[in-house]
Amino acid sequence: MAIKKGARQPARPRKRPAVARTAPPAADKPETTETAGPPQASPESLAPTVHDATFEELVRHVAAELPQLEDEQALQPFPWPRVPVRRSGIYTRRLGPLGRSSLGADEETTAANEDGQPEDVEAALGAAPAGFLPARTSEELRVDVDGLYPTMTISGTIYRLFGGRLTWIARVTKNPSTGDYAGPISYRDGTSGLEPHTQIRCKITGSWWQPTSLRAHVTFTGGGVRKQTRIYKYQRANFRDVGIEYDTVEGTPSVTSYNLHAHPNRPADLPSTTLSIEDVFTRLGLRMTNTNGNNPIPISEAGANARWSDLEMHDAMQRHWSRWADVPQWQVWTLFAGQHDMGPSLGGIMFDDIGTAQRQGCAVFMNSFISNPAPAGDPAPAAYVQRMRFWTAVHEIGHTFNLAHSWQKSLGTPWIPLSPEPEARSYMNYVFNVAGGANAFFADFYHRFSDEELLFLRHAPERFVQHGNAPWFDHHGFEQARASGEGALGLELRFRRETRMFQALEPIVAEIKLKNTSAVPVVVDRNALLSEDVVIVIERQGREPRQWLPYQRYCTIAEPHVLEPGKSIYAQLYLSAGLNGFDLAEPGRYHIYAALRTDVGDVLAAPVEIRISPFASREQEFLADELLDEEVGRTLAFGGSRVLDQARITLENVVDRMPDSRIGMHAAAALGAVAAKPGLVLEEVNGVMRLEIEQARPAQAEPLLDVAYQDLDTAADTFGHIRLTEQVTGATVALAEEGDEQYATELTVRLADTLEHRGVLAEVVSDVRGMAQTMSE
Amino acid sequence: MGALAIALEAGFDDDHVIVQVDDRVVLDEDGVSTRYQIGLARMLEAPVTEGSVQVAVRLPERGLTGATTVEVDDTHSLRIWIENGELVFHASDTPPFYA
Repeated sequence: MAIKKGARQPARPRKRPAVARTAPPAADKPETTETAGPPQASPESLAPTVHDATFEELVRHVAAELPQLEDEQALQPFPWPRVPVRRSGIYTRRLGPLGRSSLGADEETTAANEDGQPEDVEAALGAAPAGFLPARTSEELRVDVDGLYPTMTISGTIYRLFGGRLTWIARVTKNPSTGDYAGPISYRDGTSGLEPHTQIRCKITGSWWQPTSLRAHVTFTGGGVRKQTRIYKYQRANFRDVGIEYDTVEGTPSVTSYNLHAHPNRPADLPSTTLSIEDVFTRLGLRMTNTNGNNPIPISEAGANARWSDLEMHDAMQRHWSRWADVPQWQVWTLFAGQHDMGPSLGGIMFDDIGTAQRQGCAVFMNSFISNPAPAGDPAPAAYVQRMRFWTAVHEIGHTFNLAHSWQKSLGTPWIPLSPEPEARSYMNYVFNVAGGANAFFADFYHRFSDEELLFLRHAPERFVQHGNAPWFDHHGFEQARASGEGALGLELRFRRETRMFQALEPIVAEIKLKNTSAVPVVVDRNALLSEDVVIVIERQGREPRQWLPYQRYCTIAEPHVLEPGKSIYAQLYLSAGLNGFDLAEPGRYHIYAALRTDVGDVLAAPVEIRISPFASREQEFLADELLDEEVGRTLAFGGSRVLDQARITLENVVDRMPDSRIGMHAAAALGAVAAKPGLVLEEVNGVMRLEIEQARPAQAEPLLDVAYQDLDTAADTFGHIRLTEQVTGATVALAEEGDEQYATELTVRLADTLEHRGVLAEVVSDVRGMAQTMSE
Repeated sequence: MGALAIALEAGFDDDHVIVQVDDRVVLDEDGVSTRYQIGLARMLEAPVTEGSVQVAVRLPERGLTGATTVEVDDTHSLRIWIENGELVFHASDTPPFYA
């Protein structure tokens, strides 16, 4: 679907609780097509796409050529790399603040004792910077030792909250007697101290036919530090996950697949199958998925000359690409167009070397030399043309991954020392520049990238390869991550109250603020503060730190937002409870740490110290047992519930017994919010489950809201400005709709006055006053 | 009267480049850089008559100069690039292709 620039996008499922079901992962789709079944050469394999109407004639020509080719291929052996056992792919390992692995305790114990030596996992991962005790570490291991064109490489990336990240790479060989893979760590990028060892040995256990059982046991040695074995759990076969969208200029054909046997000049053992562009990348370990789109683009967008400039294509990309965002993302846009301003000499171009997030778009020009007729006497002239077009498309898409031409590998600053490969049979070589020309090239071309290119695609630090990240050709992707945002953002965790002393049982609501502290605009994800990239660690004095895991996370697409200098985005965080339980419940002193993981590193907030008062009465102690309950925690965190009856009873009890306490205000707010507005409840009626409307109960709501918000200044202290504003306006809008405009208006006006008095941003106060005005009309 | 396609390819980096065909300047431009995704910095077409012409290239700020004689009748394009600090000329009877 095309999204017009500046137009409002159609509704998307922006908010999705973490527990929401999602579609089955595309990983379920078989990865390889090359080992499948009988020869498939057929006219259908060259069927036109919806934009290929004018291509039908070419298809008919190819179809006419195919019968004799099928006879030929039937005689061919079928030694295309068959890989019955494939254990390569991504393995992961995570450690929480307590050093607990994502694996079960038994598995981790096994690792620690493998060589009969005690091993300190955290010590081996390097010490955290002084001043930050909590450490949350996650590791990704990329095993590339079998499957199609293995590079015999094992690499890893270590992410450590408050400690940076490191990508390391080891080239390995297989020990035939043990089946282990071993080799030196020959490349590091990032905080080297996170992995000081110099050698690895990897043993893979588990059954390939049951991937969830696969484990990579990696023993790290050398570097003058203690040997260590870590276990990684298999996650998936693909090293990267990329989306692609094809859009086509009206009246222009497109080519997104090619039957490998369509032309007889090819390796004898090339399988008979049709490769789509997505297949080319997916079978090499970079799962590529068509994200649809297929938008016809008016030729008028190319201007009066009907030929495309880079700028016109960039504009078209922004206008028509449904995934357009000026941020790094694993997405690529491909345009099939007629001709570039340069004329027929240019077959295609990765035009997106403009602006900040580069390498997101490329184009293929169908009215260029790539559509030149085959040389006289060619046995399959239509297939010759289609193959050239297909090669061009994959070649340009290869550039978007920051791959240079084969003969340019040593130019610029390659990510590792590289040599030119002028004779490489790679999509990144010019077919007409090798010795013997295009015929020599295709005679020995297996529709792949070179080993060095595969090493880069599978193992280079993500930012060097990912679209929109490192600028084009800058280290073909090395070293210079896009500086946008780096050092330009400040993160603040704060409480909108004079004292950080909290009452016993008082829910603790923090606000988090991301500010552009630089002098230039910075593009950020508008939803960044609601995402899993926000990490909060709570450390009670004298205890191990624990990570706060909220009951819900928002799953959103990247929504670029230009943050002007000095401007901020905000979110509120209900820290008292979460999936980890109640980490801010007991009286005592706490430190709270916050970080936002961004593509250019972690942005850290200054730690905040808070204190929770001792229980003021035995009644409070008694209530604690009831309040520290998951249902109650969820009800307070979500600001109310229509279905958690036990929690409702508990909160009603709190309001009755402690209406003047802070917990009493939170309880009343949650109960009042539900009573103020109608809602849907799933109920069983005559044995059938159906949604019933629960009517609003203003008469019950208003006394509760009085308890919660009678003293709005105190309410602002305990709820924070963001949560208070959301809760009050949510309730008053509902009450106004139920007909109690006077109550709603008065409370909303008092809210605006309170916010103004407390120095809240003028536009927020103005919005609230506007709501009050609307209610009163 | 025909046309000679002159392609400035690899090795140009924000250079001042002057191209002459015989005594006629056909390009005098600052900031010429190779776009490595197509391996090309500039493509120009110079009108030529029959016979031979001399094509000279100068990068004054780098102190680079080079020249070659092209037989117009046999030549469709002239590719020029910088390799190991020297200008390299390659004449061809086919048009150059880029992608």
